[in-house]
Amino acid sequence: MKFKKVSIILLVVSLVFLLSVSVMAADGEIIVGIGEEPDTLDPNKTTRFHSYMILSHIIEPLFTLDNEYNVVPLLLESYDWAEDGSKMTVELKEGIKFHNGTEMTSEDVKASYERYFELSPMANYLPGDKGGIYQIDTPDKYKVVFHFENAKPLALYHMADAHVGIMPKEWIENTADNEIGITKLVGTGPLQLDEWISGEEIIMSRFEDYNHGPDFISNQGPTKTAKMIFRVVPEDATMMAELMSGNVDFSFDVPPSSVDVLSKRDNLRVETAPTYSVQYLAMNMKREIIQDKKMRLAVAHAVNKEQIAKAAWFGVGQKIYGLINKATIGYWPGIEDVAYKYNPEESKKLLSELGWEDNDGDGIREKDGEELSLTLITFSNIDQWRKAGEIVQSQLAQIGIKVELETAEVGATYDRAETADYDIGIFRNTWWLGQPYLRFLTHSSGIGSSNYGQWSSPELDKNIETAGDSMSLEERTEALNRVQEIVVETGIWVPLVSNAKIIAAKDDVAGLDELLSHPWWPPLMRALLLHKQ
Amino acid sequence: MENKLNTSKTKSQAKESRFWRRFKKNKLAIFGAAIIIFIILTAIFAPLLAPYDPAFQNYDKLLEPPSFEHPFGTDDLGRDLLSRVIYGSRYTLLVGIGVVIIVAVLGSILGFLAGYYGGKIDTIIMRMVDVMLAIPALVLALAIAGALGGGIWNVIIAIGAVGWTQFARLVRGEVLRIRESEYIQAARALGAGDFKIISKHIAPNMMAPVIVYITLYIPSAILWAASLSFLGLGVQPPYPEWGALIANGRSYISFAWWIATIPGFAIMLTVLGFNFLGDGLRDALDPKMAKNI
Amino acid sequence: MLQYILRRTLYIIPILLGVTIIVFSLMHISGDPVKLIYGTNLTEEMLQEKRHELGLDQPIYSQYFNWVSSAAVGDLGVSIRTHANVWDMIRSRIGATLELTIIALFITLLVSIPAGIISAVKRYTVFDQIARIFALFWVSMPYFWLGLILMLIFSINLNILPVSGRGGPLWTWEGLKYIILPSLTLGLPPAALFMRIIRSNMLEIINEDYVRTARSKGLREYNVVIKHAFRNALISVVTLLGLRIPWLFGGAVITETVFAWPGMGRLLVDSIMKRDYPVVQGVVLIIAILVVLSNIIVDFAYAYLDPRIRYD
Repeated sequence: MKFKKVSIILLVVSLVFLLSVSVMAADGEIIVGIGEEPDTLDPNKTTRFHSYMILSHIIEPLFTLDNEYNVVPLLLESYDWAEDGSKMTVELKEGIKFHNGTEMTSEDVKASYERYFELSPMANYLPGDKGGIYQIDTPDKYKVVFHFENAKPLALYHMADAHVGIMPKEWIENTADNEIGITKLVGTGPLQLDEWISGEEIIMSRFEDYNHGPDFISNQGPTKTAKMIFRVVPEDATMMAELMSGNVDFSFDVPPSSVDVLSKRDNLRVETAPTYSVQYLAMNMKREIIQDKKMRLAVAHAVNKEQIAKAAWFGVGQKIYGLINKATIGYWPGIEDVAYKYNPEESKKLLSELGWEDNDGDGIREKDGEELSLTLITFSNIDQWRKAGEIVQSQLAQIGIKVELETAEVGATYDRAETADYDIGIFRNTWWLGQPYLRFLTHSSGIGSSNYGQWSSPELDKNIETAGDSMSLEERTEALNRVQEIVVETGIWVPLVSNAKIIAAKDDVAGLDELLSHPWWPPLMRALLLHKQ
Repeated sequence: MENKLNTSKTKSQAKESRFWRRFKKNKLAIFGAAIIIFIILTAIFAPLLAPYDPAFQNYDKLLEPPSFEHPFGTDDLGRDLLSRVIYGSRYTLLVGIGVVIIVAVLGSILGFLAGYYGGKIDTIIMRMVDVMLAIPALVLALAIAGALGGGIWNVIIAIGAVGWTQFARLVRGEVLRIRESEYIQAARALGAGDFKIISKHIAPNMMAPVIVYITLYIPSAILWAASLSFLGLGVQPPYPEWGALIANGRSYISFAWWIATIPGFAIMLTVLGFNFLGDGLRDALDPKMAKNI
Repeated sequence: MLQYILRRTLYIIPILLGVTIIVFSLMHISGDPVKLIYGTNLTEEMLQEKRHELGLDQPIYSQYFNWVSSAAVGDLGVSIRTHANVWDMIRSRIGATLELTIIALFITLLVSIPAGIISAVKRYTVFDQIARIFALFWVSMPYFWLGLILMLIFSINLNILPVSGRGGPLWTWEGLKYIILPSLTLGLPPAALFMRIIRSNMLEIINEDYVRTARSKGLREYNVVIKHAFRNALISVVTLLGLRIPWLFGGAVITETVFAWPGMGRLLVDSIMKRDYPVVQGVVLIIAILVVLSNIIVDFAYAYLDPRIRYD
């Protein structure tokens, strides 16, 4: 009997020992390869995707999205939103600590929201001057009251965006503005910023006091990995070689061209999924030649999306019909019937109707002695865009349009698009919520900047606004569907390919299955779950 | 020296035959000349030589390795790489010649002014050269090309704008040497004007070093232009400039090595040709010149 | 000698002033700086206001003066894209560039000096012929292509060296292995040129009278070559070094881009792409200062090595 007891004790002890060993083994670091270096990690200044992805490990918003697209509290105990949408009261969780050791209070939330309203180019829905939050009260340490001027039905989604992440008030006030997001960043997130070595890597380490992971993630405490290092690997070939040689453990910037080769490696796991990010073509309505709808339709009918998906995306992307695709909130299946089909004969007919004919036999149409020539701009530094540009160039050549391809870095290309200095362009958008994205892209307030088509109509404007402001879900949906329809029907915006999200991980990276169960593989889950086995 | 004026004709004839004798003996120089003639012919007859249209995209043949059908393989849009390399020779030669023209014109004018008139003009121009030399030429060319925007003509302007300095120095040195020589003094004493002295006496005497310098400068221009294209600031896609081809192939180097490596051999061959020829010309014209250039 | 050093040092002032003029004009050949910074979606009045704010409504010479006077005290402005301080950005990159260029220079000398000497001493032997042909091939290769080929062989196929990036300190293998390929890429092509110059200089000197005399006095040939010929060949190496230093920084720009080496060169290329002109200006200026300073060091070395030089 005694022997049995002893052996049970021994068994328990050894189990505990084994468990603790396995926990200790979970320590260590994960090296994440990123294809683009962030411009800044200041959540209120950046508009770049990579900055957003990386700062989301450090800074958290009040809400987050679960794997069924529901907005759920993250830093909150509970929230109460008045029926008419005029007031939202939130109760903060007690005992949430910032990386600098101070506790998060209502004052910090207020200061962070105010800074977001003041600085962020992304703040186009929530701020008071957009009919949103005009006042923030802090009746006690853990209670925040947001007062809305008009009803803002999508407010929760916007409040789940890390661009309005919570930072400590005192720290914001005492830190130089050009240090925030460059050398320092303090939030409540599972990882804290140790060091950003420009051009090399961003080093983050586990925040031991983290205690508020959302319910849909199995780990709510501190991260399992001791460190996460984001290494800047700006070249596709290099990223691929780094993954193959094992210098990088994980990457969400895997070039589509390498999927085939990487999938065949024994020590790597490669996963792809459609994403909310899309590749589309836009035409500049400030140009006289584009203003004729026949010209736009000629271009739209001449573009073969399948070829782009095949050659530019190596089969990883999928052709799309609307600007909002299946993985985005607000997708409307009816768009398939609206979209213009590939039909080069129709294009040729339209061009002939406009009076463009190839009389000298050089393959390029001309009218009144002038060649039919368009300037196409796109990104030089992302292969899938540069190649889509070359493919569209060759497709338009087949119907007799000469295309001057002018590629430049992403920012420089958008500068040209915003200032209407182009004829047609191939751009990207990455946003998981349909309405704000279409507002950004097609509302009349964006003309001269983010409305790259440089066009809108009262009907389009009205529907965009209804889709964002109506308290009735049915009305909002109907309006958003109509927006999608108008946008494609005009021929100004031609959706091309839905991007694929690709990740690659070494086989000793654990926690991947759970991460993949969420449609977006969000940064928060990445931080809480991934670790080396 | 005095009778040089009288016997210059026969002397130059003698010089010429000596030059040819020396040149023909230099096997590498002949080899270099052959390479360059080969590249020039390729550029001229590209449409006849290329098996495919260099812009034709075949989406069923992406990244195919070299085969009988496509001796250099295909690129990421299914284009025939051999045809693209063949057409690429046109851009390379255009850049080389374009840059050399700018460099020669700018460099000669400024070098002449500095050398012939001396004094303040000389000081100003030579300080300008010193300043330009303090900024690495490639760095400045990159910045200028970036400011002007890409494209082949902007590349030629950017490289030409930074490349004239060494040439101006060379011309100035030659002008100084010739200007001090007795026969120029004599010509001047006889009342010849500046223009006559320059066109009749100085310019012909400078042809030899200028030709050698140009031949040796073309490869640098080609390499710089390829570098600019490689960095994305030169010739834009889809034009098959060799540097741009390498830049394009770089993304696929670990599984489609041919795209990035083969155009590199083309660049190397061209540059090698000009280097061999330049060395040969220099040795044949004047073995002692080796140290000055 | 002291006077020479002083005068040579003072000479850099007009050079640097000239450099600042070129660097300053860079921003102005690329169009209206305000439009570059703020885009054209501002109204004309707002543009005017911004111009005033940035001092761009002043005459060009006073704009230049303002820029130079702030640059002189280390204020190079802020980046258009990230709003970070330009000098801070450069400062975090300068170490990597110096590390790369110095090691590459070291490789150049390490390869070219022995090869040049042996080539000259064993002239017209198989070694000499092979070395000379190799040298011609090396100088004909584009840096970026050589880099890619080395990467293809050693990193991708053999997998013995990392593909890119920068590791820890150089005295550890972790750090050293990262710099091997970039420094070879930057150091080998100029080695070919150096070798040719050393060879031809050595040949000239070996045939000179005083070396022949030394040899006939019965010293071992080895000593003759090293002591006399080499010291003189070194002078030509130093001259060439002065000429090649700007090329070294130019080559570093390309090499850093190929190997994602986090130095100033990559910062320069990135900033040119992003049309971030304050950063471009800053990097070009700093590179020019580095070139000028290295040239001075070379000049002093030259003066030290060659007793024939006159200091007036």
